[in-house]
Amino acid sequence: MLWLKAWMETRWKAAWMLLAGALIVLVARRAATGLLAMGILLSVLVTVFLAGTGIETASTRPGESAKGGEGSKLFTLSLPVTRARIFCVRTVIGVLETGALLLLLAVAAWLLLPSRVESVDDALGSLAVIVSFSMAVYAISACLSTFCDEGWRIRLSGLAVVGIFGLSASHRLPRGLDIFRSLVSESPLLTHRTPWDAIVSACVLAVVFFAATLMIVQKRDY
Amino acid sequence: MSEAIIEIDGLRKSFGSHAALDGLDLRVPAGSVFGFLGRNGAGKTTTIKHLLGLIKADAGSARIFGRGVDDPGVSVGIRQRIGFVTEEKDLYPYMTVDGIIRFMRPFFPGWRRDLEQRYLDLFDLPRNKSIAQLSKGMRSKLMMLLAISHGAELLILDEPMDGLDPAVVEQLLRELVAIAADQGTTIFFSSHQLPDVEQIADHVAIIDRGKTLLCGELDDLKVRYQRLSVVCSDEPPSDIGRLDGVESVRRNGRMLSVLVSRNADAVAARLRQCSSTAVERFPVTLKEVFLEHVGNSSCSG
Repeated sequence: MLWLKAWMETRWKAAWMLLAGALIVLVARRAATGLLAMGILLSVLVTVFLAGTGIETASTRPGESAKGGEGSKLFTLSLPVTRARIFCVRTVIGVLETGALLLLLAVAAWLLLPSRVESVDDALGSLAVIVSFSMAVYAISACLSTFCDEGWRIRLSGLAVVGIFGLSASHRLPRGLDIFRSLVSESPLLTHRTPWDAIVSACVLAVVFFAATLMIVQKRDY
Repeated sequence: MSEAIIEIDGLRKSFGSHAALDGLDLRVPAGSVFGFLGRNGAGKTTTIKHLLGLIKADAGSARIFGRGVDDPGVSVGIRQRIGFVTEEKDLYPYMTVDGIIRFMRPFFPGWRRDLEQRYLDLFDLPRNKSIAQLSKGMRSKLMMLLAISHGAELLILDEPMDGLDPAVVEQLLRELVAIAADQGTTIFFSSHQLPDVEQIADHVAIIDRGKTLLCGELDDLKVRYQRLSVVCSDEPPSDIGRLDGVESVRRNGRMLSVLVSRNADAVAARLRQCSSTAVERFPVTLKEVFLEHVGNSSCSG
């Protein structure tokens, strides 16, 4: 039943993000072609993702800032289930919703730029980059939500993305760790090569932040 | 004395420099209706949160059903036997009454549909109504239904009557008494609505600033606590306040009013020495006892 609850709590936000993303993609398709459209689409992906970072993120309820309102949080935490289980359900639902959203946007990108997608491998590679990058941001956002309210969580998540972008732009990140470069200028759609090292780095970052969030959630007072 | 279902020893919890619990001790007998009293900020909700495993204490211990509440795994098992009503009465607004009942059932294998239906009817809760559309009183009733219907052995209610109209309060109080009597459920409820507590509780504890000031059977307290009143013929004796069992002394001219918590006969005998008239004895209300203890605590702070 926790799965149903998590879905019910996030479905409208997910639907709204999907609708917003789809509308912007349609506008982009009318307004531009080629690389300009690609740039717009990537902006959309990042913007849409940050707007709801991870659609309520894994941390919702059990990871919520202690400063926030109590709401139904105490009721949920008083149920005979471990915090780890509540956290994992929220995380998986959030990841699935985000993954579904990104998949749809990626398909939109391929439809938008059919000339850039030369093979299924390139398409899947670009999807893997987008998903792994998103999961890393998602996990950072989840961790932030354990001590920030909703507004600050979104702002700081955005700052984290800008920070990663800044490190990438100034070439301070080792190539193998630079998921942002793999997302934009060295996208598999452009290089026809899947950057596995960057994908793995982003996934490791996500796992580390998810694990940290889980540890915080299990130890914290509510 | 019956077996304790909740046992708390020397519980301490601080939030920054503020000590929410400062060595709290408590015994809640099985089958009792236990009123947990204190002013706002006295530590009632912090105690309840610790019992439910929502916060960790800095020191001391708490056990429910004889098992420590600190271990998260044990706490899950304990929570399966507890019904909880939160102070805020907040449930999931996107669910209906029927939806949240169906949500709750799988968590509690002993869920009793007969009780569910009984309280739906009794509280006049419409199954298809959205929780977002329920008043606070209706949400209180729904929470009570959810807490009771899984056959809880212990109900922990945090300010269950807060913000409710007198008719709803009366109905809930009657039901609590019925649950305790019919099912043997232990009821532990925090409140600062003293008349409500006096109406249904058989045991009470008064806490303030995270410490237990008083804990015991309500009837025993009512027997032990008395107000003695006398009009002195001469100047009232000044040593009355120092006698064993004297909690407070009020003077109004030659009239003395003394609140005693024990040793009433000896105090009455001393009062009689200054008076040609009889010493009158009055029963005291829980409110008087509460104000006496909490008032003293405030002054000493």
